[in-house]
Amino acid sequence: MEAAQLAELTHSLTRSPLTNEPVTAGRRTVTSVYFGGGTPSLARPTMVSKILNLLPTLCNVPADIEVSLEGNPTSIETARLHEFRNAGVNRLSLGLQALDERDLKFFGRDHSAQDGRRAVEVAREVFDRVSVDAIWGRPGQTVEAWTRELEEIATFGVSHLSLYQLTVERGTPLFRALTQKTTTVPDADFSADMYEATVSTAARLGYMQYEVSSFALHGERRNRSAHNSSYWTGSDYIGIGPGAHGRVRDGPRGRVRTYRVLEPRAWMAQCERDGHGMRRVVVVSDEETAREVVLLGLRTTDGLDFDILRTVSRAECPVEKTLDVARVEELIAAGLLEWTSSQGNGAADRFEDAVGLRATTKGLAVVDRVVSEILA
Amino acid sequence: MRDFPPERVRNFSIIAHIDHGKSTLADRLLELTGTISKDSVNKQVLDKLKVERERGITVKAQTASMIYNHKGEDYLLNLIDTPGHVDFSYEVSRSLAACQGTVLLVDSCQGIQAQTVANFFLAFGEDLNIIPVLNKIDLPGADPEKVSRQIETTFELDVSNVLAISAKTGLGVKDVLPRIIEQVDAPNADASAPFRGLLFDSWYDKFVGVVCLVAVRDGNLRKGDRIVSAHTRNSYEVTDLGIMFPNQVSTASLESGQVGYVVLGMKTTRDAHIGDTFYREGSPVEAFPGFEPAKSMVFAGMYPIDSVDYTKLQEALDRLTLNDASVSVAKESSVALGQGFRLGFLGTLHMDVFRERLEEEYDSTVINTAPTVPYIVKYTNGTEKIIRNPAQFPDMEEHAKVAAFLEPMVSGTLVFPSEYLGPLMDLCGAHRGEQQDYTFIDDNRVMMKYALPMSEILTDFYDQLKSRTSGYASFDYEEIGYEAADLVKVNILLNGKAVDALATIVHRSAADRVAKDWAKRLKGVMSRQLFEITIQAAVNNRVVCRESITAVRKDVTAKCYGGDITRRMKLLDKQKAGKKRLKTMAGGVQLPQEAFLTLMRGSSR
Repeated sequence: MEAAQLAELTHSLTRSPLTNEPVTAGRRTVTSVYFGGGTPSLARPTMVSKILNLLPTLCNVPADIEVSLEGNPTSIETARLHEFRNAGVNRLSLGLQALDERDLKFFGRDHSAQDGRRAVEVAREVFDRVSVDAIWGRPGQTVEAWTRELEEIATFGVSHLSLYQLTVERGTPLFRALTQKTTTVPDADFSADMYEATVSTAARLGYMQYEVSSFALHGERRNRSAHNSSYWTGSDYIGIGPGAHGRVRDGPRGRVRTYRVLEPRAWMAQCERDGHGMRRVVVVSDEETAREVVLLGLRTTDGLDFDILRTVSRAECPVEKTLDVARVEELIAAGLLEWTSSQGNGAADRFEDAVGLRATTKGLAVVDRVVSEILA
Repeated sequence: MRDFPPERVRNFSIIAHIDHGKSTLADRLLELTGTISKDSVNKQVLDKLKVERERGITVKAQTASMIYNHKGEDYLLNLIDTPGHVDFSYEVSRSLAACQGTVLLVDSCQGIQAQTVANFFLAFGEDLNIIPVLNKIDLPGADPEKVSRQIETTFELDVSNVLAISAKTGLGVKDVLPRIIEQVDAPNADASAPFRGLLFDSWYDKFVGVVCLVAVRDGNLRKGDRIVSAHTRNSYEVTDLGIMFPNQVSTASLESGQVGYVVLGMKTTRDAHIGDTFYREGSPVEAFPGFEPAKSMVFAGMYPIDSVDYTKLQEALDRLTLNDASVSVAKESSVALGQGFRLGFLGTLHMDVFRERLEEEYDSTVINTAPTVPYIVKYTNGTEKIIRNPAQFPDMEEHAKVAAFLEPMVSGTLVFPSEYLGPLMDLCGAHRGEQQDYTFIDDNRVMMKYALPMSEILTDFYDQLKSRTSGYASFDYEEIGYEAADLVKVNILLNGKAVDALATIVHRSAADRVAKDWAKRLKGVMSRQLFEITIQAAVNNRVVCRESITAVRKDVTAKCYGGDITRRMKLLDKQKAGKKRLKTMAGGVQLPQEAFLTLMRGSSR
């Protein structure tokens, strides 16, 4: 496993995903590393060291590179956390999910609320950047109960919160329970109430929303997740390991999406054979890239930056090709969007003066619908 | 063809109510004479168009010629098929005009139905020899005695030797042709007179252009002859001619008294006017009586959901109307829907059939506005205007200049078991009908005539008729001119803006009900959107009701990292396709195609 990951990492930074030819255009800069996707706490600190030692040989590594580890409260041991810290991890993301015992059972977690609290405490001792994940919109959950839970979470004083609405995926026990009507989840209007409560409560407690589900303490940029932010600002991301997704620019060939083999053993076998575990590489057109940048940009409170849109989609053509400006104006009139101006956080009056577009608080709650309507 | 002088030619048709077995009998006769083989591919050979086959009705009329030996002599028997639906009664009458006799086929279980009556009167009006034949005697419910008596009473036909057959099993079918030969007159044709032919049907063939079916009354016709249309005065050269056997078989000539096809190099069926007279160039003749240019009675607007598809829709309409001259097409534009067309149909079945064919032909979504009949506005200064589109209804300011509104009326014939007399009188009364007549056809069936406004039978009348009588009632109608009516316009407003495509003209007595019903129905098919939608319905600009749809407040994916992004983009593409089915009105309100369809369906009363 380790060897395969190192091989794949090397390949991703030195060769073209499409042609397998060595990259000649100079070294990339890697600004964040995220160890996640499954139960990576099984990843060993030595693995982290090896990777972090390999990186500078393959690419430029800034001094403030963010190295995050995803963990579950059950697998935390103080000693190990220190080891990870020593190996180079500087941010921990804890999958707390809930502080209610019944809900934790419902989520199928094998940690208790007490485990969760303890884990946060330990994490805070070891790392100065800690993020806590929590899920709201659970069956039977009231706004009051959630607010209380959120208030407790705020007392932990972590630097970042990821607050997700419960999403029902096909094939899960929850999905089945819903179809069999043995349980219910909040309807659209109730979800709206809960979402509004989440945002306002978090703000009251000092956590400012910067993306649909992401909240940074005091709204400070250094408390944001650099790794996640890179998704939303159209940067490249390299996914390593079984089933990982990636999106990178492959030189003049344009942007590609990479898909790694899903099954771990098969992935390892391929890495051994080919030096990488990619099963599929798909070229993404500039138009599609542009649409993606709009979709992701509008999920953030900073909004979509037109410069980024133009650069990433290599488009010399105007923003009008991607956005239906007339429809945007209609939605602006409805209070869902606003043009951004170059003056700090101000709003611009007209498209001609705008440097970007962002959703208002009301608009962010319906941003999926908004995006599908404003894409030309 | 010269082997068959008029004495040994018989031109006949089979007329019947829907599903009484006309097509099956036609198949049997063709098999019997060896014109087609017995295998199942030929099932109901005369129903050529798929849509018609699917709905079990004949819309296009076809002719088939057969040769039959009777008492040692060969006869040329031309079976002229007739469209089976009330919307096409003009076509039926012209097909009948090409015959000298007809088989009146009646289901011996069901007995006389509304179209049996209607078709009988058409045939009677053309002075044809009418031969009653009872069908389906193989069925357990058959009662030939009773049905014979019905026929005798209602039509005053001689039923002493009435043929009782089963077209399905073949029982008795062999007696049909001899009976026809004996009882149907030979065509009264003058071989020496100049050519005179009746055009009674046409269709478009992609290889040769328009093919016309002609009954040669006088004279004869050969390839290379030049003939002229009495109606348009266009002249054509006969490039091919022959008989339908049952498919086209070329012959050297068509002789007097015979019926066959001619190919004239015509480019569109719109040039082939059913009921027209053809004569030899240089020898004009008296035109056949009964000719009428096609008259549209039901109009509907048709718009592409995406304005870029306008040309595509135009082309699809052009292709379809090549083969259906009875559809009138006019360009139209709507403030709400953009550029489109107003199509005129003979009736609602015609419209439905056409719409299905259009959907197959034109592979995008079409918006249809609610069907309307042609109203007439009479102004005080004596002028008149025909309105085919609610948008043309005079504005309130103009009402002072309006002397009267007129609406087209029909006389409807209903045939049904007498136990449903009450419910049907209610139904007709609820549709502003006035009873004209009723008689008992036999011990337990009634034939009732009602004068009804045509607009009242456009949508759910027929369905209501069927459901109130468990399907036993049948219905036919004919136009009977115009009458004064107190008409108003019902308008739908979305977020305060009137949508011209969502308007309708109704009688004042129904206005409030229609307005409320439309507003409710519209709300039911519209989904929540990014802003609140207010639906109002107004009668002559006076708002009578209001519904609202609150804005959607939450529609956002919780997580969007790595692999989520790919999934999200896929979903977005799918949604884009779905967006194509939505039309954005002024003010950003989006209407699905269903909105228009649901309003077309009429109210549930």
